[in-house]
Amino acid sequence: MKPNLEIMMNGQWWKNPVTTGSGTFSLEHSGAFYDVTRLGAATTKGVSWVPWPGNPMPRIAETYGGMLNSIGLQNNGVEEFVRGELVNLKNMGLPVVVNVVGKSREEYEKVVAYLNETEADILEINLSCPNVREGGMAFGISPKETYEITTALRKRTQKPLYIKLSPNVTNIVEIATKAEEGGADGLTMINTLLGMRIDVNTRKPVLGNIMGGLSGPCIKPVAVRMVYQVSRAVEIPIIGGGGIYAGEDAAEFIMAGAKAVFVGSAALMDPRAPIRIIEELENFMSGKGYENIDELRGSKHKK
Amino acid sequence: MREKTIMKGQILSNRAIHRSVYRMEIQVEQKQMFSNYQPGQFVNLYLGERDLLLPRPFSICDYRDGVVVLIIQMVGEGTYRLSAKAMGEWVTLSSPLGNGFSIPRGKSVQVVGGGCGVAPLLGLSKKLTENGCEVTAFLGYGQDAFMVEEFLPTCKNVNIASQEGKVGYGGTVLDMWKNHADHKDVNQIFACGPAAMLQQLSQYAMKRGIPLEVSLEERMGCGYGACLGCGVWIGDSSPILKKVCWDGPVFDGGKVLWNYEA
Repeated sequence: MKPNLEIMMNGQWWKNPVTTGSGTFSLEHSGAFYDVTRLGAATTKGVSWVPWPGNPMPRIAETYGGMLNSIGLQNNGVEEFVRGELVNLKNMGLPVVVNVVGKSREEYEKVVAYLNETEADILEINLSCPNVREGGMAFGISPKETYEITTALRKRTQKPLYIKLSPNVTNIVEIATKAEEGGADGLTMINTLLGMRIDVNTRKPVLGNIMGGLSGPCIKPVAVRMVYQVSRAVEIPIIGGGGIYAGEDAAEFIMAGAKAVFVGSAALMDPRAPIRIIEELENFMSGKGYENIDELRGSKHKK
Repeated sequence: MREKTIMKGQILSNRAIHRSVYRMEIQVEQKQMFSNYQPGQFVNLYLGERDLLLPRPFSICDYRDGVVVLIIQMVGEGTYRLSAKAMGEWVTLSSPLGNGFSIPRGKSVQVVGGGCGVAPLLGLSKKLTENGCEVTAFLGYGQDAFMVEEFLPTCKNVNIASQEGKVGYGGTVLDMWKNHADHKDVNQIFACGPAAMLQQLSQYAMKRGIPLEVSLEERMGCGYGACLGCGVWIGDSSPILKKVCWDGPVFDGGKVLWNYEA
């Protein structure tokens, strides 16, 4: 029997628990390789109040089992995004998670207030981009700032509000708890890990921005550990990810405590990865006799 | 929406044509996806390994009847592993990506290539010749020349430069091009090679009023427009950041803002 992959996310049904990772999906480009309506939801690239040009090239460096990026949240601003990408995705009937970036609390508030009047389903607040000096990371590494910005944004929207957490902190549980206390409806975790590469032949950093965010299968154990810790400390749902490359990786995150999962850089390494992972998750579940996603939840662990 | 796909291909041959340069022929599984191939487009090669996960983009050197020819320069671990692939092995590749060169009819044109930048110019020269163009090639190399014999049958003239002076003109392809008799009757130039070469050639061509298309190289992530890893500033009064992989890799040489920073 085919397992049921549906999940209920903040009052809305997703046909499966797989969404895309912010910054690795767009309708035009991903849609050239697969039918995007097969996704549980689409998570879009971070949008800011005004257009951002992003960082200098090169913005990509490969690492063993992963990659570094320093794109720097290049985007054309929320207005163009809402008119184009958001309308087009909603016309296809997809749940849409809109990732929001800003350089100040006011900017975040403006974008959130603007998106509140649109068809966006979930607002995912990026408090954790390591690539932009003011790209939210300053908020996301401080429990106090995380609490304050969450309460401020909470007042601006009735839509489900998710906070995307940075792994570049000493105690992620503390930050997650503050986001929940501030009124977040959910958490997305994890963002990339701050990293760096030097070309030993030229003695120069490989990335134009010197440092970048590490993603890909090499970060998965860190992400699973953090989802595991946080899910035991908060009541709100978690969209978990970081290095998911196969259906079994998605299952692992759900067992760790994630309600849904995101597939990020795997889509850069295999354009059809999100769909392949949905299929593999389904096959894994039928092979093991799981009838629905709830049966996957939780791991057998010793306290 | 432009339809793209990922497919398997079988290696028909893979041989060194220079110390660190390989010529790989791949029989692709879905040749219908290549039916609209434009010279200047590229494919992603997926290594299919657990450690090096990003695709390697290679411009299509030539294509005929389901067989893609790629020129692969060994520059690191990934390309080293590709060089070791043997006849009969399978690889995973994308359908053609990006946008190719324009193909005028019945014009007098030049193709100018530096190093492995000569690769896409072969398929281009063939297509241009098929369309009644007269093609003059300027091919520049560091040391030994390669692929010259493939350009000879399809070009009216083939000029070779080698920086070490082993073959042809002693110097860069740019020096050779500048010292060439004249470029009066040239309708268009197509170029591929190092950025510095393309930048200077663009300046010379613009001075002479000759339209020029360049194929750019930039470090890519996904190769299909999703990650915004490979940007280039294009325009004049209001520069726009274009994606090399999706909007290019071929651009109007006169519109590329070579050293622009936002």
